Amino acid sequence: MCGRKMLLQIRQKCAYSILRSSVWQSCSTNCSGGTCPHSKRATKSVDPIRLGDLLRRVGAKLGHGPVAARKIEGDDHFPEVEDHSFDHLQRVYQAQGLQLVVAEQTRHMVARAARRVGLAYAGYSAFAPGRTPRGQLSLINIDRASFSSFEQIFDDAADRVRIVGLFSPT
Amino acid sequence: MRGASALQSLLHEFDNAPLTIFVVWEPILATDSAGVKTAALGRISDRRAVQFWDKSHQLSAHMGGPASFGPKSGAKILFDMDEYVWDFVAVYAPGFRWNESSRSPAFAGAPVIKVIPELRSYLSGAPAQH
Repeated sequence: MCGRKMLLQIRQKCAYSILRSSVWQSCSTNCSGGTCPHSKRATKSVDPIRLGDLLRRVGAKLGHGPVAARKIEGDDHFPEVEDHSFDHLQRVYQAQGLQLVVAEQTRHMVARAARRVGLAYAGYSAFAPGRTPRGQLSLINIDRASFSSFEQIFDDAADRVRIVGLFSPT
Repeated sequence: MRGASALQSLLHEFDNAPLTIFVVWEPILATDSAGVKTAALGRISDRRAVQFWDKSHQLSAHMGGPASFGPKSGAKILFDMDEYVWDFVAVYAPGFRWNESSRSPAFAGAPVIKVIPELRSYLSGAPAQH
């Protein structure tokens, strides 16, 4: 696969093709959205990292000036380096770029998972029935059990003093 | 909520008294519609308590609503309960049966936090009387 195609892969990234590097190496299909041809799983178009930005971040990491990123993005040979050196540089940028993309993807996935867990917990807290303290009967819903459930328990305790309190939960 | 906590503190003082406590939660404020949560139920931790969720205010209706606790009833109601009986505590003497609910409770007051001293006095004497 030529360097240009690999760069295209970063641009057209799909979570599966990038995370599974062997697939990524051979994949030349646009997997951003629809069904991934390799995993056969539905993919979502992920927030694209602009190729230029990605290459500049790689350049910054390697201590290069922004011109290197621009040249590689444009597949523009440096007049001062040989073709094979340029190919090597491209490969270095591609490998580093892939690492960055994978790290970004992982961060997104972790953040997404954390959001889902948070939402699930919030949903559970909002709709789950309350639990009474240890040693007490479970909460009795008068609407479901009918008012006679209250009456029955009240009369069953007729041999003792009974205190009835009515409260608003908030 | 403060009333429930105050009631729990009072119950702690009567740890060994033969009491049964009926705690009925009902939606009064807009924020109550989601029901009663564990945190609220935990305010009354006494093992002698039975807790209920009364979404449609059936207990209030069975009691005759706030009107039945007017000045002539002997109840110590210190605020306008408006539509439903709430933030309210009543004490029923042994032998009382619910179908006799036309009879007034032995003690009734609201809001709970303000009638705790009277309730304490009543409970100090009541178990011994019956």
